[in-house]
Amino acid sequence: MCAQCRAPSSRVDWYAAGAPDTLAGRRTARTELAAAATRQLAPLGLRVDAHPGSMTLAVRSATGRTVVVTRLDELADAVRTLTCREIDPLDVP
Amino acid sequence: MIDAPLVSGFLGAGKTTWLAEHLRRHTCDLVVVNDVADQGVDDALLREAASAAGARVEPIVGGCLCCDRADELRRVLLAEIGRRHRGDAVRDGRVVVETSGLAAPHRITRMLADDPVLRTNLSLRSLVVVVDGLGGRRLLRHRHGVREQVTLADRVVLSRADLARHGELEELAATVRRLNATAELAASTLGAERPVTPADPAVADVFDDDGTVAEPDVRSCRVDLAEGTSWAEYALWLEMMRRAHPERLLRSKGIVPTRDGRLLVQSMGGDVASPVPAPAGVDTGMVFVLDRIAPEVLVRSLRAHVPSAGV
Repeated sequence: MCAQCRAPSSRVDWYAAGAPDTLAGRRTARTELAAAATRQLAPLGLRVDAHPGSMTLAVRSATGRTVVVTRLDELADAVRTLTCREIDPLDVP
Repeated sequence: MIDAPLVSGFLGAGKTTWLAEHLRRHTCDLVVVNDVADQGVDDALLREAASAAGARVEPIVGGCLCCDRADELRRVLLAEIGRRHRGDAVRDGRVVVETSGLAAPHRITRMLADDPVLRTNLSLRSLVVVVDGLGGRRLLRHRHGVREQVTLADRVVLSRADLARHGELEELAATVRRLNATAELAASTLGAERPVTPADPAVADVFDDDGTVAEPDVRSCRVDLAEGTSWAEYALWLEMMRRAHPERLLRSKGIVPTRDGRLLVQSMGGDVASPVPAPAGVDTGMVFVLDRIAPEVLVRSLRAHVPSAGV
Protein backbone atom coordinates (compact mmCIF):
# COMPACT_ATOMS: atom_id res chain seq x y z
CA MET A 1 0.00 0.00 0.00
CA CYS A 2 1.31 3.41 -0.99
CA ALA A 3 2.36 5.63 1.93
CA GLN A 4 0.94 8.67 0.14
CA CYS A 5 -2.47 7.14 -0.44
CA ARG A 6 -3.04 4.73 2.47
CA ALA A 7 -5.80 2.11 2.45
CA PRO A 8 -9.00 3.08 0.65
CA SER A 9 -11.80 3.81 3.06
CA SER A 10 -15.52 3.85 2.41
CA ARG A 11 -17.27 7.24 2.49
CA VAL A 12 -20.82 6.00 2.62
CA ASP A 13 -22.54 3.02 4.26
CA TRP A 14 -23.36 1.58 0.86
CA TYR A 15 -24.54 -1.75 2.23
CA ALA A 16 -27.29 0.01 4.20
CA ALA A 17 -28.11 2.16 1.16
CA GLY A 18 -28.91 -1.01 -0.79
CA ALA A 19 -31.29 -2.36 1.88
CA PRO A 20 -34.97 -1.38 2.09
CA ASP A 21 -35.37 1.91 3.97
CA THR A 22 -37.72 0.62 6.67
CA LEU A 23 -37.06 -0.58 10.21
CA ALA A 24 -37.95 -4.16 9.27
CA GLY A 25 -35.82 -3.93 6.12
CA ARG A 26 -32.79 -2.65 8.02
CA ARG A 27 -33.20 -5.39 10.66
CA THR A 28 -33.46 -8.09 8.03
CA ALA A 29 -30.43 -6.70 6.19
CA ARG A 30 -28.41 -6.75 9.42
CA THR A 31 -29.45 -10.32 10.25
CA GLU A 32 -28.62 -11.49 6.71
CA LEU A 33 -25.24 -9.76 6.85
CA ALA A 34 -24.47 -11.53 10.14
CA ALA A 35 -25.45 -14.90 8.66
CA ALA A 36 -23.44 -14.36 5.46
CA ALA A 37 -20.41 -13.11 7.40
CA THR A 38 -20.53 -16.07 9.79
CA ARG A 39 -20.46 -18.45 6.80
CA GLN A 40 -17.57 -16.58 5.20
CA LEU A 41 -15.52 -16.16 8.35
CA ALA A 42 -16.02 -19.64 9.81
CA PRO A 43 -12.65 -20.86 8.41
CA LEU A 44 -10.97 -18.08 10.44
CA GLY A 45 -12.74 -19.22 13.63
CA LEU A 46 -14.98 -16.15 13.75
CA ARG A 47 -18.72 -15.78 14.10
CA VAL A 48 -20.91 -12.72 13.71
CA ASP A 49 -24.03 -12.17 15.81
CA ALA A 50 -26.86 -9.71 15.35
CA HIS A 51 -28.57 -9.22 18.69
CA PRO A 52 -32.30 -8.46 18.64
CA GLY A 53 -33.04 -4.86 19.53
CA SER A 54 -29.61 -3.61 18.55
CA MET A 55 -28.46 -2.27 15.18
CA THR A 56 -24.87 -3.42 15.78
CA LEU A 57 -23.06 -6.66 14.93
CA ALA A 58 -20.74 -8.52 17.29
CA VAL A 59 -17.73 -10.24 15.71
CA ARG A 60 -16.41 -12.95 18.06
CA SER A 61 -13.25 -15.01 17.91
CA ALA A 62 -13.02 -18.62 19.13
CA THR A 63 -11.52 -17.36 22.40
CA GLY A 64 -14.44 -15.00 23.00
CA ARG A 65 -12.69 -11.79 22.02
CA THR A 66 -15.39 -9.51 20.63
CA VAL A 67 -15.47 -6.41 18.45
CA VAL A 68 -18.74 -4.54 17.97
CA VAL A 69 -19.31 -2.96 14.55
CA THR A 70 -22.08 -0.97 12.92
CA ARG A 71 -21.02 -0.87 9.25
CA LEU A 72 -19.88 -3.33 6.62
CA ASP A 73 -16.43 -1.73 6.25
CA GLU A 74 -15.93 -1.94 10.02
CA LEU A 75 -16.57 -5.67 9.79
CA ALA A 76 -13.43 -6.14 7.68
CA ASP A 77 -11.46 -3.99 10.16
CA ALA A 78 -12.74 -6.20 13.00
CA VAL A 79 -11.57 -9.33 11.18
CA ARG A 80 -8.09 -7.83 10.88
CA THR A 81 -8.10 -6.83 14.54
CA LEU A 82 -9.14 -10.30 15.71
CA THR A 83 -7.08 -12.46 13.35
CA CYS A 84 -4.27 -10.14 12.16
CA ARG A 85 -5.15 -11.32 8.65
CA GLU A 86 -6.65 -9.76 5.53
CA ILE A 87 -9.20 -11.86 3.68
CA ASP A 88 -8.53 -12.48 -0.01
CA PRO A 89 -11.76 -13.51 -1.73
CA LEU A 90 -9.81 -14.75 -4.75
CA ASP A 91 -8.07 -17.28 -2.55
CA VAL A 92 -10.59 -20.08 -3.06
CA PRO A 93 -9.42 -23.65 -2.42
CA MET B 1 -19.87 21.94 -39.10
CA ILE B 2 -20.49 19.45 -36.32
CA ASP B 3 -19.27 20.31 -32.84
CA ALA B 4 -17.80 17.15 -31.29
CA PRO B 5 -16.75 17.47 -27.66
CA LEU B 6 -14.88 14.47 -26.30
CA VAL B 7 -15.60 13.27 -22.75
CA SER B 8 -12.90 11.14 -21.18
CA GLY B 9 -11.72 10.00 -17.75
CA PHE B 10 -10.63 6.82 -16.01
CA LEU B 11 -12.97 3.89 -15.24
CA GLY B 12 -15.60 4.96 -12.73
CA ALA B 13 -14.58 8.62 -12.74
CA GLY B 14 -18.19 9.72 -13.26
CA LYS B 15 -18.24 10.41 -17.00
CA THR B 16 -21.72 9.01 -17.59
CA THR B 17 -23.25 10.83 -14.61
CA TRP B 18 -21.68 14.12 -15.72
CA LEU B 19 -22.74 13.56 -19.32
CA ALA B 20 -26.34 12.74 -18.37
CA GLU B 21 -26.63 16.09 -16.59
CA HIS B 22 -24.80 17.86 -19.44
CA LEU B 23 -27.33 16.47 -21.93
CA ARG B 24 -30.19 17.89 -19.90
CA ARG B 25 -28.79 21.38 -20.53
CA HIS B 26 -27.43 21.14 -24.07
CA THR B 27 -28.96 20.06 -27.33
CA CYS B 28 -27.28 17.17 -29.05
CA ASP B 29 -27.83 14.99 -32.11
CA LEU B 30 -25.82 11.91 -31.27
CA VAL B 31 -24.07 10.47 -28.23
CA VAL B 32 -21.39 7.87 -28.92
CA VAL B 33 -20.81 5.76 -25.81
CA ASN B 34 -17.81 3.50 -25.63
CA ASP B 35 -17.43 0.63 -23.16
CA VAL B 36 -14.41 -1.62 -22.90
CA ALA B 37 -16.64 -4.53 -21.85
CA ASP B 38 -18.48 -6.61 -24.44
CA GLN B 39 -21.82 -5.53 -23.10
CA GLY B 40 -22.21 -1.88 -22.11
CA VAL B 41 -24.26 -0.46 -19.27
CA ASP B 42 -23.62 3.24 -19.90
CA ASP B 43 -25.72 3.45 -23.06
CA ALA B 44 -28.78 2.15 -21.18
CA LEU B 45 -28.14 4.63 -18.36
CA LEU B 46 -27.78 7.53 -20.79
CA ARG B 47 -30.75 6.72 -22.97
CA GLU B 48 -33.30 8.72 -20.94
CA ALA B 49 -31.15 11.86 -20.72
CA ALA B 50 -30.19 11.56 -24.38
CA SER B 51 -33.78 11.24 -25.56
CA ALA B 52 -34.70 14.32 -23.50
CA ALA B 53 -31.94 16.17 -25.37
CA GLY B 54 -33.26 14.82 -28.67
CA ALA B 55 -30.15 12.73 -29.21
CA ARG B 56 -29.63 9.20 -30.39
CA VAL B 57 -27.28 6.90 -28.48
CA GLU B 58 -24.78 4.83 -30.41
CA PRO B 59 -22.97 2.29 -28.21
CA ILE B 60 -19.56 1.02 -29.27
CA VAL B 61 -18.60 -1.86 -26.99
CA GLY B 62 -15.92 -4.50 -26.63
CA GLY B 63 -12.82 -2.31 -26.87
CA CYS B 64 -11.44 1.21 -26.85
CA LEU B 65 -12.22 3.89 -29.41
CA CYS B 66 -8.55 4.76 -29.53
CA CYS B 67 -7.41 1.34 -30.76
CA ASP B 68 -9.69 -1.73 -31.12
CA ARG B 69 -12.81 0.20 -32.11
CA ALA B 70 -11.29 3.21 -33.91
CA ASP B 71 -12.72 2.10 -37.25
CA GLU B 72 -16.17 1.80 -35.77
CA LEU B 73 -15.97 5.35 -34.40
CA ARG B 74 -14.90 6.59 -37.83
CA ARG B 75 -17.84 4.73 -39.43
CA VAL B 76 -20.37 6.19 -36.94
CA LEU B 77 -19.04 9.73 -37.37
CA LEU B 78 -18.98 9.49 -41.17
CA ALA B 79 -22.56 8.17 -41.13
CA GLU B 80 -23.63 11.16 -39.01
CA ILE B 81 -21.88 13.56 -41.39
CA GLY B 82 -23.61 11.88 -44.33
CA ARG B 83 -26.97 12.09 -42.57
CA ARG B 84 -26.56 15.82 -42.03
CA HIS B 85 -25.44 16.43 -45.61
CA ARG B 86 -28.50 14.62 -46.93
CA GLY B 87 -30.95 16.49 -44.67
CA ASP B 88 -31.73 20.17 -44.25
CA ALA B 89 -29.69 21.05 -41.21
CA VAL B 90 -30.99 24.27 -39.67
CA ARG B 91 -28.24 24.54 -37.07
CA ASP B 92 -24.76 23.26 -36.46
CA GLY B 93 -24.75 19.63 -35.38
CA ARG B 94 -23.44 18.31 -32.11
CA VAL B 95 -22.01 14.88 -31.41
CA VAL B 96 -20.73 13.99 -27.94
CA VAL B 97 -18.23 11.13 -27.74
CA GLU B 98 -17.78 9.43 -24.37
CA THR B 99 -14.66 7.31 -24.39
CA SER B 100 -14.07 4.20 -22.31
CA GLY B 101 -12.10 4.69 -19.12
CA LEU B 102 -8.99 3.14 -20.63
CA ALA B 103 -8.91 5.17 -23.85
CA ALA B 104 -6.02 7.44 -24.75
CA PRO B 105 -7.76 10.62 -25.99
CA HIS B 106 -4.75 11.83 -27.96
CA ARG B 107 -5.13 8.85 -30.32
CA ILE B 108 -8.77 9.77 -30.96
CA THR B 109 -7.94 13.43 -31.63
CA ARG B 110 -5.19 12.30 -33.99
CA MET B 111 -7.61 10.01 -35.81
CA LEU B 112 -10.07 12.91 -36.21
CA ALA B 113 -7.29 15.16 -37.49
CA ASP B 114 -5.86 12.59 -39.91
CA ASP B 115 -9.11 11.77 -41.73
CA PRO B 116 -9.82 14.53 -44.33
CA VAL B 117 -13.63 14.11 -44.19
CA LEU B 118 -13.76 14.13 -40.39
CA ARG B 119 -11.30 17.03 -40.23
CA THR B 120 -13.44 19.12 -42.55
CA ASN B 121 -16.79 18.38 -40.95
CA LEU B 122 -16.04 17.94 -37.26
CA SER B 123 -14.73 20.49 -34.83
CA LEU B 124 -13.26 19.08 -31.65
CA ARG B 125 -13.94 22.14 -29.52
CA SER B 126 -13.13 20.67 -26.14
CA LEU B 127 -11.76 17.62 -24.39
CA VAL B 128 -13.48 17.24 -21.03
CA VAL B 129 -11.74 14.89 -18.61
CA VAL B 130 -13.66 13.75 -15.54
CA VAL B 131 -11.50 12.86 -12.53
CA ASP B 132 -12.87 11.02 -9.48
CA GLY B 133 -12.91 13.62 -6.71
CA LEU B 134 -12.27 10.95 -4.06
CA GLY B 135 -9.74 8.54 -5.58
CA GLY B 136 -8.38 10.91 -8.20
CA ARG B 137 -5.10 11.73 -6.51
CA ARG B 138 -4.30 8.05 -6.05
CA LEU B 139 -4.94 7.43 -9.73
CA LEU B 140 -2.89 10.44 -10.82
CA ARG B 141 0.03 9.25 -8.69
CA HIS B 142 -0.03 5.66 -9.86
CA ARG B 143 -1.51 5.57 -13.35
CA HIS B 144 0.37 7.09 -16.23
CA GLY B 145 -2.71 6.84 -18.48
CA VAL B 146 -4.80 9.01 -16.15
CA ARG B 147 -2.08 11.67 -16.03
CA GLU B 148 -1.96 11.62 -19.80
CA GLN B 149 -5.73 12.22 -20.00
CA VAL B 150 -5.50 15.16 -17.58
CA THR B 151 -2.48 16.68 -19.33
CA LEU B 152 -4.42 16.94 -22.60
CA ALA B 153 -7.70 18.24 -21.17
CA ASP B 154 -9.33 21.58 -21.94
CA ARG B 155 -11.65 21.14 -18.97
CA VAL B 156 -11.15 18.96 -15.93
CA VAL B 157 -14.25 18.09 -13.89
CA LEU B 158 -13.70 16.75 -10.36
CA SER B 159 -16.65 14.48 -9.66
CA ARG B 160 -18.37 13.37 -6.44
CA ALA B 161 -17.68 16.74 -4.84
CA ASP B 162 -20.40 16.15 -2.24
CA LEU B 163 -18.50 13.21 -0.73
CA ALA B 164 -15.09 14.90 -0.57
CA ARG B 165 -13.62 15.83 2.79
CA HIS B 166 -12.73 19.44 3.63
CA GLY B 167 -9.90 20.62 1.39
CA GLU B 168 -9.69 17.34 -0.52
CA LEU B 169 -10.98 18.70 -3.83
CA GLU B 170 -8.71 21.74 -3.60
CA GLU B 171 -5.69 19.46 -3.10
CA LEU B 172 -6.74 17.34 -6.07
CA ALA B 173 -7.22 20.51 -8.12
CA ALA B 174 -3.66 21.55 -7.21
CA THR B 175 -2.34 18.20 -8.45
CA VAL B 176 -4.32 18.63 -11.68
CA ARG B 177 -3.02 22.19 -12.06
CA ARG B 178 0.54 20.89 -11.71
CA LEU B 179 -0.09 18.56 -14.67
CA ASN B 180 -2.11 20.99 -16.76
CA ALA B 181 -1.59 24.70 -16.22
CA THR B 182 -4.33 25.94 -18.53
CA ALA B 183 -7.33 23.62 -18.18
CA GLU B 184 -10.54 25.04 -16.78
CA LEU B 185 -11.38 23.39 -13.44
CA ALA B 186 -14.80 22.58 -12.01
CA ALA B 187 -16.15 20.45 -9.19
CA SER B 188 -19.26 18.42 -9.87
CA THR B 189 -21.98 16.80 -7.77
CA LEU B 190 -24.13 14.49 -9.89
CA GLY B 191 -23.26 16.65 -12.89
CA ALA B 192 -24.08 20.02 -11.24
CA GLU B 193 -20.91 22.09 -11.42
CA ARG B 194 -19.32 24.70 -9.18
CA PRO B 195 -15.93 26.40 -9.36
CA VAL B 196 -12.97 24.96 -7.43
CA THR B 197 -9.74 26.75 -6.53
CA PRO B 198 -6.50 24.75 -6.30
CA ALA B 199 -4.90 24.58 -2.84
CA ASP B 200 -2.01 26.97 -2.40
CA PRO B 201 0.66 25.87 -1.61
CA ALA B 202 0.04 22.56 -3.39
CA VAL B 203 0.54 19.29 -1.51
CA ALA B 204 3.45 17.31 -2.95
CA ASP B 205 2.76 14.19 -5.01
CA VAL B 206 5.18 11.51 -6.15
CA PHE B 207 4.24 10.18 -9.57
CA ASP B 208 5.73 6.70 -9.49
CA ASP B 209 4.47 5.14 -12.72
CA ASP B 210 6.09 6.39 -15.91
CA GLY B 211 4.02 4.13 -18.13
CA THR B 212 6.79 1.60 -18.66
CA VAL B 213 6.83 -0.26 -15.34
CA ALA B 214 4.08 -2.85 -15.54
CA GLU B 215 2.19 -3.74 -18.66
CA PRO B 216 -1.49 -3.79 -17.68
CA ASP B 217 -3.42 -6.93 -18.54
CA VAL B 218 -6.92 -5.51 -18.63
CA ARG B 219 -9.79 -7.86 -19.34
CA SER B 220 -13.51 -7.59 -18.89
CA CYS B 221 -16.17 -10.16 -18.19
CA ARG B 222 -19.89 -10.22 -17.67
CA VAL B 223 -21.52 -12.35 -14.98
CA ASP B 224 -25.27 -12.89 -14.79
CA LEU B 225 -26.59 -13.07 -11.25
CA ALA B 226 -29.72 -15.09 -10.43
CA GLU B 227 -32.96 -13.44 -9.33
CA GLY B 228 -33.05 -13.25 -5.54
CA THR B 229 -29.28 -12.89 -5.11
CA SER B 230 -28.52 -12.16 -1.46
CA TRP B 231 -27.51 -8.51 -1.13
CA ALA B 232 -25.62 -9.38 2.08
CA GLU B 233 -23.51 -12.05 0.35
CA TYR B 234 -22.76 -9.88 -2.69
CA ALA B 235 -21.96 -6.79 -0.60
CA LEU B 236 -19.65 -8.77 1.69
CA TRP B 237 -17.81 -10.20 -1.32
CA LEU B 238 -17.49 -6.77 -2.96
CA GLU B 239 -16.23 -5.23 0.29
CA MET B 240 -13.53 -7.93 0.59
CA MET B 241 -12.58 -7.49 -3.09
CA ARG B 242 -12.32 -3.70 -2.92
CA ARG B 243 -10.07 -3.98 0.12
CA ALA B 244 -7.87 -6.80 -1.10
CA HIS B 245 -7.57 -5.77 -4.78
CA PRO B 246 -8.30 -2.06 -5.31
CA GLU B 247 -5.68 -1.93 -8.09
CA ARG B 248 -6.90 -5.07 -9.86
CA LEU B 249 -10.69 -4.86 -9.70
CA LEU B 250 -10.69 -1.66 -11.74
CA ARG B 251 -14.43 -1.41 -12.16
CA SER B 252 -17.65 -3.26 -11.56
CA LYS B 253 -20.98 -2.03 -12.80
CA GLY B 254 -24.36 -3.55 -13.34
CA ILE B 255 -27.55 -4.85 -11.82
CA VAL B 256 -27.85 -7.07 -8.76
CA PRO B 257 -31.35 -8.61 -8.71
CA THR B 258 -31.90 -8.84 -4.96
CA ARG B 259 -35.00 -10.18 -3.28
CA ASP B 260 -36.02 -6.58 -2.48
CA GLY B 261 -35.56 -5.29 -6.03
CA ARG B 262 -32.98 -4.65 -8.72
CA LEU B 263 -30.03 -2.51 -7.59
CA LEU B 264 -27.58 -0.62 -9.79
CA VAL B 265 -24.23 -1.30 -8.08
CA GLN B 266 -20.93 0.28 -9.11
CA SER B 267 -17.40 0.12 -7.75
CA MET B 268 -14.35 2.06 -8.89
CA GLY B 269 -11.12 0.56 -7.57
CA GLY B 270 -11.31 0.92 -3.79
CA ASP B 271 -14.57 2.88 -3.77
CA VAL B 272 -18.15 1.66 -3.95
CA ALA B 273 -20.93 4.06 -4.93
CA SER B 274 -24.21 4.04 -3.06
CA PRO B 275 -26.46 1.52 -4.83
CA VAL B 276 -29.63 2.94 -6.36
CA PRO B 277 -32.75 1.24 -7.75
CA ALA B 278 -31.97 0.11 -11.29
CA PRO B 279 -33.58 1.95 -14.17
CA ALA B 280 -35.92 -0.06 -16.39
CA GLY B 281 -34.52 -1.53 -19.57
CA VAL B 282 -31.09 -2.49 -18.24
CA ASP B 283 -30.27 -6.18 -18.40
CA THR B 284 -29.53 -8.04 -15.17
CA GLY B 285 -25.84 -8.82 -14.81
CA MET B 286 -22.55 -7.35 -13.66
CA VAL B 287 -19.70 -6.20 -15.87
CA PHE B 288 -16.23 -6.42 -14.32
CA VAL B 289 -13.10 -4.75 -15.68
CA LEU B 290 -10.07 -6.57 -14.29
CA ASP B 291 -6.34 -5.98 -14.35
CA ARG B 292 -4.21 -9.11 -13.86
CA ILE B 293 -7.17 -11.21 -12.67
CA ALA B 294 -8.37 -14.02 -14.93
CA PRO B 295 -12.17 -13.88 -15.39
CA GLU B 296 -12.46 -17.56 -14.42
CA VAL B 297 -10.77 -16.80 -11.08
CA LEU B 298 -13.30 -14.05 -10.42
CA VAL B 299 -16.20 -16.35 -11.33
CA ARG B 300 -14.83 -19.06 -9.02
CA SER B 301 -14.62 -16.53 -6.20
CA LEU B 302 -18.21 -15.36 -6.79
CA ARG B 303 -19.40 -18.98 -6.86
CA ALA B 304 -17.75 -19.65 -3.50
CA HIS B 305 -18.68 -16.43 -1.71
CA VAL B 306 -22.06 -15.58 -3.26
CA PRO B 307 -23.79 -18.97 -3.62
CA SER B 308 -27.21 -17.34 -3.95
CA ALA B 309 -26.10 -15.72 -7.24
CA GLY B 310 -26.18 -19.12 -8.96
CA VAL B 311 -23.04 -18.32 -10.98
